[in-house]
Amino acid sequence: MTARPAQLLDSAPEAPADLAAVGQSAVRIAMEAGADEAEAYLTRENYLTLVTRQNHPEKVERAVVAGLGLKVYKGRRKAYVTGSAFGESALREMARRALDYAVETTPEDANRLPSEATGQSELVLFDESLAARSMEQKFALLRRMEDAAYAADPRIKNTQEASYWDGTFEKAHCNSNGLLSRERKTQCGLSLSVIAMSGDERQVGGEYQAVRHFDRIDPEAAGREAARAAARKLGARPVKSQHAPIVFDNRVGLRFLGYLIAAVNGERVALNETFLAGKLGERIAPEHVHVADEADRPGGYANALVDGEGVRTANRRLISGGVLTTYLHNLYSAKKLGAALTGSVQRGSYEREGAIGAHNLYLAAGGLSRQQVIGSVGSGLLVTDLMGMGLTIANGNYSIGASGLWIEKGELAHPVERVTIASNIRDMLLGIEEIGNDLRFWAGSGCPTFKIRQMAIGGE
Amino acid sequence: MLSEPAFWHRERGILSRENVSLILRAALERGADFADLYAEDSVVTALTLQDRKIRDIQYSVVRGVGIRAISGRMVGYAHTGDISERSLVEAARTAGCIATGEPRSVTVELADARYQALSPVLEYPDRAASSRKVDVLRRADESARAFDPKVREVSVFYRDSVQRVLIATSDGRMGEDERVRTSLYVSAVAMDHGERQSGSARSGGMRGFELFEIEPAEAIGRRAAAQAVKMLSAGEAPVGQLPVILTNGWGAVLLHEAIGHGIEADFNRRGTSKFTEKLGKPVGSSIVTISDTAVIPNHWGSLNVDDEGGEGHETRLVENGVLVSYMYDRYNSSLMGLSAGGNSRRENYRCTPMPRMTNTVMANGPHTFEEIVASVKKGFYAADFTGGQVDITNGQFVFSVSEGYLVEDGKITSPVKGATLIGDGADVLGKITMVADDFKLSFGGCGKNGQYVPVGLGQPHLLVSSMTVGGTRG
Repeated sequence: MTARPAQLLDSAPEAPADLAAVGQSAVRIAMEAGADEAEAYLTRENYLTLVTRQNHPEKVERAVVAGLGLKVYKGRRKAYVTGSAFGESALREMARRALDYAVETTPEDANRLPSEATGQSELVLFDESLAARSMEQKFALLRRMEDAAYAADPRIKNTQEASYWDGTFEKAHCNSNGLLSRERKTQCGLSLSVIAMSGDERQVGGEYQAVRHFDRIDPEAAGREAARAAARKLGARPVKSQHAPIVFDNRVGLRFLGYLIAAVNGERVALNETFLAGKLGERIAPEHVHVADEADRPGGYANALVDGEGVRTANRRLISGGVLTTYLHNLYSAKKLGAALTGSVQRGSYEREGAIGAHNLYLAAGGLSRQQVIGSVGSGLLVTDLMGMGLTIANGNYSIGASGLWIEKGELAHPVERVTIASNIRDMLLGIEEIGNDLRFWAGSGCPTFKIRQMAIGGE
Repeated sequence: MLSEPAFWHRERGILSRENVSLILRAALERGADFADLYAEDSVVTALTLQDRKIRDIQYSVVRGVGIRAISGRMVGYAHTGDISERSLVEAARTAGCIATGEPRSVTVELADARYQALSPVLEYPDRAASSRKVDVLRRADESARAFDPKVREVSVFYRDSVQRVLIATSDGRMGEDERVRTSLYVSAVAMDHGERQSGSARSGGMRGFELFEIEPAEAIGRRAAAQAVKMLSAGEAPVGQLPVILTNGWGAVLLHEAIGHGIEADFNRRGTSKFTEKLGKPVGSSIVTISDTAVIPNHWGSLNVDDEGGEGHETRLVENGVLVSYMYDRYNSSLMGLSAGGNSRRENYRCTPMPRMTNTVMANGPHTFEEIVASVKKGFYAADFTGGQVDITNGQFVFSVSEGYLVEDGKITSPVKGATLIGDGADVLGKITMVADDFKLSFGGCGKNGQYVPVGLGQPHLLVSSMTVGGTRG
């Protein structure tokens, strides 16, 4: 029954100028083919990547990727089919296939479009000047970044990779309830990883920036930070196994926020798969801990009006005064748990249906400087890099590879590597003490430096 | 070997020999030294079962062409999903712009390349009825739940993919390959007296739907359930330096992280790996012999041909503890003054190829598993993992243990909660003191620079005399 894609040459037409028009045709065709409801999600990305090493260009990559995903609902069943062919016959073939597949899924009350009509909207996070930037200007950023890294520390001897990337992202998302959500975004950024050397020892350090506007790129800052990250690791050694306070540097703090997002995922909660299931409204952290998820933040990289299922987004707190105030939902988990929709489905390319996640996510800054956070530790570890998976989401068990700097009497003493840190994430949340005022965002996530009362360090 | 004509069918399609030659010439016209074309036509079917329901079914078509031009160290790459002559020639010219000479005319003669067909497929998964896939998910779910009443939730993920590629290189070879993979992943959550634990199991191969004749879905479901239930009684893992026994099969994540990534050619061409300039030098104990082999029939990481047209083969990497070879792609090997390849892979046509592992394996040793266990007075047995990671520059690596046990007085005793193990690659390979005779294969997914490729690995049980175990109990 599953015939091979029949219209092979149908893939030839170029991606259409008007994604929304194609999306609306796809929805109409699916409805005509017998769907109860239908949704089309189209994206077109146009991107450029430049890679250099030691100011020598190594790669130029350019591409356009466009396609659509068609979701059909029939008898409370659903299926999702993706492709990159936009012709009328290709759309008919997708609709037919989706309806054939939907039969195999289990009827589920949540399998329907959001009932709240979100109508038409357009989000524009677009740098109109990007198109006029020359290749010379872009290569110049890479040169400035690498030069800044080498100038920052004489021990920087080699480059793993310096890269610049930019692109445009366009989205049209429509459904048979009248949704038409469009987005036009630009994105550009830099990343650098450099090698510091001392004798036989090599250490890598990196930095990245991702912004919407070309002018916001700061190549010198990226270069200096990458150099600092590599050079400060030289001479690293393990410490003795012990229990001690742990300070999470703001950038690795993002990982910690990632665990939290995984744990408040409504689907996992509905399946009882997370250690935060059943904890809504309970205190899970001290009173000074607030974690926000904002879809509308001034200058926010991850701003959104409508989520990946066509649900309106909002600003909310996940943890307020230490209390878990909400889970993040998609249509299924909200229905299953009888909760209000949160508009939390993150969806980029047409190739995925999207997954629950946060928009602009951050741990609210505290009142102390980073120096004061470090200064509050008698003897402990400032963690600057983490390695491995770490978290068992079912029970919160946590163990991960770490490196960073040893703190002795409130001062940075020596670099540390090849140690593990372990605890239970429930205890880590409850053990958050000092929070710094150095909240910094990388793309859509931000964190200040913060301290956890105690964890087990595995070393020598 | 293609069962049905792909979109580029030689005689009639857009990617005829004449057209491909034209496209490669367009990539070379500004003076690039070399160009290649990689066309892909893939279909993927994925189903998810959760909460006893078939929640999702997704069918995806990935179809497009990537064209690369190389001029010295410089690589130009362009790809398109718009498979028309106009768009392909434009992509080729875009890639070729890395050279800046006056347009010139070049000739590209393409001869047929025929590749080995290592992994016969008995039943193409894209032709198996969806209802049979649904049945596989249901059987895994039911057997996991039936295993023990403590099993509360089961999720099952099925995926099959049929990837057809055409690879043409400006030095005159054009050939086709087909990669068929089918896999099933089961995760189970068990609960008892407020304790919650998870377990998982998977099966997969370069096979079609016959995968489930080798191991039935029920058995995979039961393995996941058994792990979740077993771990319910797990205590806190120990912290500190201990002798560690690594399981056979998936324990080979050791090889993948401790040395595999560090000896990929790109890092060594750049001089950024801990293993840079270590060829011919000892990198492990003399009982360690490691290979990367693409030629294990039907195994997950096997290749008939790599993604630059290099034939899949076996490469000895470490011989009796001495590093004897890196793993090469064509681009890096030529910059290193060599002509090697066979390890060049990419996630799909949108990606430039990189040196990657295929199936990374360690040879059997003289001991038995029982002898290894009996030799350990106080240690840790790592029986299953969720994965690993490495910093190739300083050689530090970790793996995350999802099923671990204490070893006391020569016996495997109580289960302990997941813990991370950390070490330095060459240091840990040097501390391998016993290797068993029970080689087993396993498989997983490997991410590098944002590209994900299927890899295999395998090893016998082995003993590392001392490693850092990252539990909490001191």
